[in-house]
Amino acid sequence: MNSRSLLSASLLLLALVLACSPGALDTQAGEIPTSPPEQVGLSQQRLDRITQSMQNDVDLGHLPGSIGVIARRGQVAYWETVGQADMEAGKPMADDAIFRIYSMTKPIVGVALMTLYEDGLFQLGDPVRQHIPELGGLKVLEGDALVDADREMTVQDLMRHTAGLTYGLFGDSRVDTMYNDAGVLTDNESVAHFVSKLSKLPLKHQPGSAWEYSVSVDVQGRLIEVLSGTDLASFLAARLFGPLDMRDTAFTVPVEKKDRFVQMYSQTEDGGGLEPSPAGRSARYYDYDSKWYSGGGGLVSTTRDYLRFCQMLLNGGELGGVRILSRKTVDLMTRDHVRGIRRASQTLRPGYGFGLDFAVHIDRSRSGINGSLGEYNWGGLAGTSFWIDPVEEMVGLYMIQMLPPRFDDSRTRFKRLAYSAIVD
Amino acid sequence: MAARTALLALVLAAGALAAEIPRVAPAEAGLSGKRLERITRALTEDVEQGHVAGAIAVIARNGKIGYWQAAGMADREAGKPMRDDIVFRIYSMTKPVVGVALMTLYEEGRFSLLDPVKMHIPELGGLRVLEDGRQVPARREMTVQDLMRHTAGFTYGVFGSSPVDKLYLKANLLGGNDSIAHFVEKLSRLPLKHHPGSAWEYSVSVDVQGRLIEVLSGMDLDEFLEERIFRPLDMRDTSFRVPPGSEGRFAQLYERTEDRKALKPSPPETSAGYFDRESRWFSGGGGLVSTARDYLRFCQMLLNDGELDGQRVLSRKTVELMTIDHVAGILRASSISGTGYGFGLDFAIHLDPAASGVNGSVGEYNWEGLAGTLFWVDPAEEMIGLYMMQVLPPRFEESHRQFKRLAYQAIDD
Repeated sequence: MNSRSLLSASLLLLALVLACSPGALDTQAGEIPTSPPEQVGLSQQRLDRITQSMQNDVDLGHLPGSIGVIARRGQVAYWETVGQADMEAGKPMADDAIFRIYSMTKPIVGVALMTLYEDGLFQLGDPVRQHIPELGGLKVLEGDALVDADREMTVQDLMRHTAGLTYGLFGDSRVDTMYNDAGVLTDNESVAHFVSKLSKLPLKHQPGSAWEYSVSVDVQGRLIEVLSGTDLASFLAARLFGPLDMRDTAFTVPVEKKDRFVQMYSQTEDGGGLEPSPAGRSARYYDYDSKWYSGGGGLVSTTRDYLRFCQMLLNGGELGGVRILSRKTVDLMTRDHVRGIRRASQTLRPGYGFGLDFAVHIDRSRSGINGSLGEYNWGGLAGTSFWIDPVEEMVGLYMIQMLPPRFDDSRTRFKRLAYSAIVD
Repeated sequence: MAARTALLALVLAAGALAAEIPRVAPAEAGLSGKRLERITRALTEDVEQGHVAGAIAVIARNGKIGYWQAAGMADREAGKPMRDDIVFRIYSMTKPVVGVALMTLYEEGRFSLLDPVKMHIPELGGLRVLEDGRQVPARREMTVQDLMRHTAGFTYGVFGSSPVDKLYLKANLLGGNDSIAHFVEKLSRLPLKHHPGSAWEYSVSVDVQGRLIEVLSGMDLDEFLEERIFRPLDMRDTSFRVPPGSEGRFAQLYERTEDRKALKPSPPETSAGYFDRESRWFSGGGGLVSTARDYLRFCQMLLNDGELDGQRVLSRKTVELMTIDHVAGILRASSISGTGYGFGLDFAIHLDPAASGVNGSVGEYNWEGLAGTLFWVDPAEEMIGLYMMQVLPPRFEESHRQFKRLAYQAIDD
């Protein structure tokens, strides 16, 4: 065979391979391998303390069930699933259980938005109005007076919660009350509809002046729609969930997966027991027609899926050969962007700064956690949480389903115990 | 049969004994033998001039002992020379041991550093602060972290002359206690000297940590330390009481004469507590006796990131948390911790050699005892220094800390 026919044979073979692999071979990453703890510097004996602690939470009736996962150096070294997914139905918690991840939606939306940054479609310093004109020229409510904003909010402000927006649910200021009265996060037909309601309300702070946890990630969702020309759900599916094979992550739960959807619980009024939350609370996860996709808290996901997302970040933006972001963009997202900015809400724990849609560990003496500087994380309203630690090459993931959560105790304990299991 | 029993006994004995930290030639530990002679000379001079009766100085690097020197007498009057296995009152060098023990419970998820102390010891909630002669409510509750970094608002009594220090002395806070609970009960009736978190003041807060251990573990402090620290690390001569049969190895305690020029033996009453086998008062702030060998093992465990001879006491991450500065920006209300040093969790931390004037490393951590004992652990140089003596009050600035500067100048690699 001469070199020319060799070349054409190779091309033919390549075309054949490409044709035979629509996605599975070259655009999707494989499963994250497992490893005995000792091989990745963790002590089995010390990991057992985590299992005991999780089991204890179940035995004492603090939680119906939970899943705890620790990966190090790209390998899952700990995965424990305890208790029930649905106590009334007698359904045990299962590895493939589907959880409402609430605010753990935010880092996903942030990463998706940054893929458009990498496409050159916006800059962090862009005024938001450049892309969403309705959000230009907003007034700030100071005392009883509506005053002009000192400057326009930027995309960076949206991503680090300094846009001047608030949440409504977590505060009792006048602006928070106005958010609640306007129902900014309810009864929306689309993300655009949400933004149009929001644009009629004043800001709580001057843009850039205060860190306040807010609906700004819902605005990021709209920004994605405007810049990409596709709706948020389709965009996330195409850019993230498909390539990363996050097959159970979506804004809705398909009928055929309904059995895997974990029952939500809350504490009884006397604090002594658990009761299932009313089914109405979960109606939106079965509304397949609405185009209201909450970038701030609308996703459901599984432990496996979210771990894949985390591992992609720990790997500097790629998983199994699928690159989502450049390492430099992950660096940019996970450094502190709020140094010297006043903290106006308590959602950020002591010792943590904030990057672009992640909290970032900046002071261990303030946090009291035996972790690493530069570790980044977030959590969800129903108690789910994750962290990614580039220093220790570690991912931690903790999945529960409680509203309101008792998570602060159980999830920070999970983290301390995980770090205490490092023995190399 | 007898042979088998003997063999079994031998095997059991060998299993219980951890390997000793090896002694090597100075060069093998990255030290200059010639430069180490300067330490021996300084040590001998201190003995000859009567600043100390006797002392032991040890330097280890890379897990090997490159210098070990015993000089002078353990008991001048009895004519007993200083020996390697002499048992010393280590006073405040008890504190890091208690801190490490407490953090083993942190690693089990039993508490968080930011927990208010009252969550575990209710009596210590709602304390008031004595401010300009008036008692005002504390601005916030003290946390476990406050206890471990000396910012709880407590003081010591013995080292100060403020109204609160006087109240501590009047209450005989550290004397006449039947148990640690008894001590805490007395403490809870006294006002704080500072608002929690507002000032670094060396204090009885490690005695409170001892009580916290008892409450969280349900064990007496002495048993807990034995189980978590002394047995795993084979610190066989470390205890709150002088072990029966070891009385002959217990160093004589000396005091300086009034003109500070000579030494005289301390009266036996000063040491009575070390022989009281009935009391359950175990002072986490200063009650232990130990040997150079034992304390070196404790230090080596820390330098090894929490493990010695396969016995893991703490995770590396928790040792890190204990040995970073926790008092940045906090007012120093007592001068016990030197310039250039911050404070972690029960250790001083070297932050600034330019400010301290010590030719050591940033990140080195250490503490000292009232009778002149001192140690440091230096991760950068993989170095441990240990200095044991028994004189009240010590001459840290004039002589003992000289050991540290001389140890660093002996580094030769």
